[in-house]
Amino acid sequence: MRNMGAHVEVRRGIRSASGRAELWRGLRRRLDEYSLTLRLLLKRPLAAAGLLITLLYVGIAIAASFLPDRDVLQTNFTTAYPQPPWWWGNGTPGSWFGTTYPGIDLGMAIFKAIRIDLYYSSIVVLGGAIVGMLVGLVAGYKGGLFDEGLMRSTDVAYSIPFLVFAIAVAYVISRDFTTLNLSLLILWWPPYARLVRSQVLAVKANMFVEAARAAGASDLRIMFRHILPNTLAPVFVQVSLDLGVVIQIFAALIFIGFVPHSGYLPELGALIFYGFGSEPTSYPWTILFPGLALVIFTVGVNLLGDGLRDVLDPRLRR
Amino acid sequence: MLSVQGLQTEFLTPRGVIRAADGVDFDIQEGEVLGLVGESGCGKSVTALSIMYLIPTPPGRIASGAIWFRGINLLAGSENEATVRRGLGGKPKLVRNDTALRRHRARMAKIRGREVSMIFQEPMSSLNPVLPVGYQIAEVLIYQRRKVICDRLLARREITDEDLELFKEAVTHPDAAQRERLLADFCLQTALPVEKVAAIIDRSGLQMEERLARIRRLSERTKTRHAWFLRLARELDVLESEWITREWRVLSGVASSEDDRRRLAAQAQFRSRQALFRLVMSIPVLRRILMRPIEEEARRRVLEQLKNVRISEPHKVYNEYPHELSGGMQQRVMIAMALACDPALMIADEPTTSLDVTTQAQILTLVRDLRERIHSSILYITHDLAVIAELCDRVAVMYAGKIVEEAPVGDLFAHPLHPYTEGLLESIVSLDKEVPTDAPLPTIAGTVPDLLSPPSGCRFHPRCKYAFARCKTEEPRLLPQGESRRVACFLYEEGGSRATERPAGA
Amino acid sequence: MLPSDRQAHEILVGAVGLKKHFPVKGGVLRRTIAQVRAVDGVDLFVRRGETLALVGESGCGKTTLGRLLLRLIPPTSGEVLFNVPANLYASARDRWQRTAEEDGAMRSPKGPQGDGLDPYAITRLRTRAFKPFRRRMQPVFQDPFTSLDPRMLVKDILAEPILINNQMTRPEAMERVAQLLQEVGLRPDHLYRFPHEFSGGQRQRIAIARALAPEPEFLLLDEPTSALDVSVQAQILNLLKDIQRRQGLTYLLITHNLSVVRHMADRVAVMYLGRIVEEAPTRELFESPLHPYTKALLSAVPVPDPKRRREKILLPGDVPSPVDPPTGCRFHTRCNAVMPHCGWSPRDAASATAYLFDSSRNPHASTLPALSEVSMEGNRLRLLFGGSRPSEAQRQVVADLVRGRAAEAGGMAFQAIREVVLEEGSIVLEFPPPLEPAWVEVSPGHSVACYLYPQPQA
Repeated sequence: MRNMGAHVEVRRGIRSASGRAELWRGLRRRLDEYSLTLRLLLKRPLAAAGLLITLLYVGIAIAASFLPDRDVLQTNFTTAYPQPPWWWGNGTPGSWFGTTYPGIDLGMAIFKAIRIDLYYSSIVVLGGAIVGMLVGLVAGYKGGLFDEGLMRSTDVAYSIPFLVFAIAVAYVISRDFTTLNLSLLILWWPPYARLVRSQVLAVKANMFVEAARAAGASDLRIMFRHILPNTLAPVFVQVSLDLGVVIQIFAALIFIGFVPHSGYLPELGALIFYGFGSEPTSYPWTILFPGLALVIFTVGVNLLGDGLRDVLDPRLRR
Repeated sequence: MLSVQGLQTEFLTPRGVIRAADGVDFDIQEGEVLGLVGESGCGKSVTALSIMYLIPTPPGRIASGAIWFRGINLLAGSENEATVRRGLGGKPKLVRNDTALRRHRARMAKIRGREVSMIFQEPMSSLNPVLPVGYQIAEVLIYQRRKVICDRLLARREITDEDLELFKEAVTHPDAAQRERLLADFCLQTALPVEKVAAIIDRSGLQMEERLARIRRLSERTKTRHAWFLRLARELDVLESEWITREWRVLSGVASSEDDRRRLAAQAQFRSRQALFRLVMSIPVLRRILMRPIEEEARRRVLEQLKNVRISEPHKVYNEYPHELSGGMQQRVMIAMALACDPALMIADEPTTSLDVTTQAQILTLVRDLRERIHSSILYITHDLAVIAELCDRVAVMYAGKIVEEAPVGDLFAHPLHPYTEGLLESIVSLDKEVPTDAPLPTIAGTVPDLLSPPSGCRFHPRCKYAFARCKTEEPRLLPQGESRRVACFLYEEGGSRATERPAGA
Repeated sequence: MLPSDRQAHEILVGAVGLKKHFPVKGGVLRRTIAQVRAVDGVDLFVRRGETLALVGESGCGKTTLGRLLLRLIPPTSGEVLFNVPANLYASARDRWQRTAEEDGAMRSPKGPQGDGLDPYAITRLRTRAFKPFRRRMQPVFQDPFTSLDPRMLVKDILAEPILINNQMTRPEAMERVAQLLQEVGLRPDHLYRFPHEFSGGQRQRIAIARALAPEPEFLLLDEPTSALDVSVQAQILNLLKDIQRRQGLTYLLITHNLSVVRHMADRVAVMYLGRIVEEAPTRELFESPLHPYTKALLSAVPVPDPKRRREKILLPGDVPSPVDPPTGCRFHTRCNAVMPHCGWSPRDAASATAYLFDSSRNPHASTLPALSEVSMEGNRLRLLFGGSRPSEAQRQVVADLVRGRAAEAGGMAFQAIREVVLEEGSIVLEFPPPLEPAWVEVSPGHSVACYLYPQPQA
């Protein structure tokens, strides 16, 4: 008896070991596929530059979270006039990007600003993408009344100018980042829903969906295991393109005076605004550096998005 | 008539160079139907596209070879269009010479459509989805066959009493088929539009006098005007084809001194006429007035063509969009389009593969009948040996980018020489072949090789049941076997086990 | 466990009165403006262990019928029975035909009916109750390039149906997957690849393995080889035959390739425009086809032998639209053995009337007043004459013209005209009411729906 028990034990052991090996091999095969995508991406110089810029900004954002806040917004009214960086002629030694009004160190502020901007725009874009994906998936798969309702509500959302809407919502409710985020989110998911819905309709026509149904797969399983993974590629592209757009919207809103709370805020739009408040013709670096930070990021994610669009094209995969 | 010699077409992919056609050799005689058979990916479509010069560059390019068509080499002057260079990291890269490419494409466009036309497997992909099909064929005619159209328009004359007698007969003849024929004769004589005449005939409640009056009015309305313009357009066409043909001959290195001289003269004359033509065309009002008779005549010829391919309601089909037609109908429209310019060579790339057997039978019968009427040569590409047996005079079998066997159709089916042909013939599931129900069908083991890394030596050796040591290392050449056949296999070369065998057909 | 799980009955899959109509939406409001009658009243059965081939041109509804049998789409009317005794199936079919005659627009019953068919009728079951049947009937589709999920590894594609349907742990399932792969002639290292890394033939092998994974009894093979090369086609057919012999499976082979049918099938059903027109054992169908459509279909298959040319029966035109199929026998518009009572209707004769009854064109019609309009009303064709009311003598002229035209070639539609009557200032040509030919068993197991063969007395 004991022997038999041990035998079963051993077999189970072999089985679970082989089971783990199988999962591991499958995972490795999938990773190969991703690394192929990465290699194809890096082969394109522009896309590679885009990826580098994006990663750099993400790195800065992460690093900046470890900087204490007060160091950044340390104001220094004794030198209220903006000081140039050390390499700008008669600049302050040790200061790489100079200071802006009122005595804020620009380098530090831009670091912090990137963190804030990236954080909030990611929330809007990713939140919009996730909500839109779910809605589009269900609408495309189920069709019927829900689909019809979705299409009409996206029509409505398309017709609202988001800047005006964001300002209106914030004035009515409150002027803080959460409200700003929510109001943008409300307008941000419908394009994703439409994108995913059209993809779902195309994928649904494939026979593997029918085969999965014949195998007894539930609707949920078909939607999430079979259809969703096949619709993701254009969503990735759209997300990376949108990141730049949303950062610009944030900056624009804050630049036109929509400051969420009183006091000084390390945000790219706000930094440009401070620069404008202090005679930018005499102190060009005060708007040049925050502006450049904004432009480089937008160009970077756009390059990345375009590269992704090419690389994720299934015709290139063979 | 057409002679393809050592054609090599390659594609540069991220994974490496694919040589899709690797030294393809075959000839087509005047009025002959040559079948090109092979499995998918063997390079038969690439061969066809190379002849038409429709290989997309990049990623593809014609690396070497010659395509002689009626005394000119279609690949002459195309050598420098795309070259392969080693790029960074030793990866081959395709470099395009855009000027040379554009010039050659322009030359080819004159041959394509006029002398060589192609029918594709997917008729939908070669028809514009937003234009009526009739309009699309008419457009081809206006651009490629302006001379014929102008000739017909210039030959038009006043209507006579004899014509009207014929018309009366066409209206009242008791036999429906005879009525049709009389109507066609009448329209041919008077060059009046068929559909308008038919409308006058089929209109209920008209007296004969009324009908005759309408015909007279119709003839008045469609009288030839602006003959000078028609003559200009005609001459433009004639000069252009003369110039292009002579230029081809010069490029192909077969030109006489006469050619060289006439080429420049024709070119100069063409240029001056073209300037006038362009000037006239640039004024929208003039353009509309002058082009209308040409467009109407083209429409008439299209309707004739549609009838030729046995479309029962050509007027209805003329105005329909591609997606409104059934698959068989689309393919017929494609054939009508290909035939519109009386090409000397027609290339048909799997035209019936996506059709039902009943429709396929219709199309095959149609092609066979047309063959007798139009005397054009046909290169018929298919994977279906049964279709080849029904239609072709000679067959070339292709495997992995090479022709492995070529023979008259009867001989090939009676005595296949190459082991691949043999296997292919065996593995056909046929209605007439009695296979015992329990026995498995004979097959060719293995799969078609990946052309990225083709097998060494004879490309068929990994699947061949007769393979021996030499097959793995050396590549067999396509050598004559008997009088009318060629085969690329060591079994038939000196020292091969079948070298002495003489097939019945040879 | 359902009772049907324990016993194996003779008929594995049976359809009675099966119909599927797809709505055609149009206009601004997306209203249903017409019905595509894809499958329009089909009785069909597949015996356990046999291969039934379903042949027909594209658009005849054979793929829709296959999807109905697997309950991938719900029927508009009719029932699908699974694993049913032969006598029960026969009685169900008779009963359905009787009730369908009495009450034309009947729907398929939902839920138990208490008529003895409840354990077999899978179309009556709710989704949850149907689930155990799912794994017993599996499809293999035509295009191996879209039938495999491009983002899944082969092992996951094959494991999915097992994990869903059979109570197995993951390691057990993986063992079965490896075994399946071997069964269809692939190597174990193929498990960790994506579908796009395979050739068409290999993909079709994977698709077959997936269909076999939940241990089904019935396989629906929808054009399994028509997307493949000739040499690969033979390999796949051999594989399918081999699997059938080893596992005692039942096949429904949907195809338009009659050569494949001859090699694979025990029985053949021929479908035209949503109806089965002939059904016979394979050998008998190929040697003595009865229906003119079957004959034309067989003659159209190209022969791979240049020395032998079969006489072809060319069908004129295309398959008519299933939105508005021809009345009577649906094949009568293209049939070469057509007779006056095959279901001719006014629309078949309308085009010839413009010449025939026009006094200014047809000299024989010179005594008639000028024809102004021809209109169709059901099975009546009305001739209106401008202004004047036609007289009895003129009716006689029309009747003579009809008789004369009927005698000519191509005048079959005029032979069908029963009566020429004078009515409300017009002359009406009456056609017989359209009737479809009855399903007649000509010899054991060989049935046909065609007026050429003796019809049962009503």
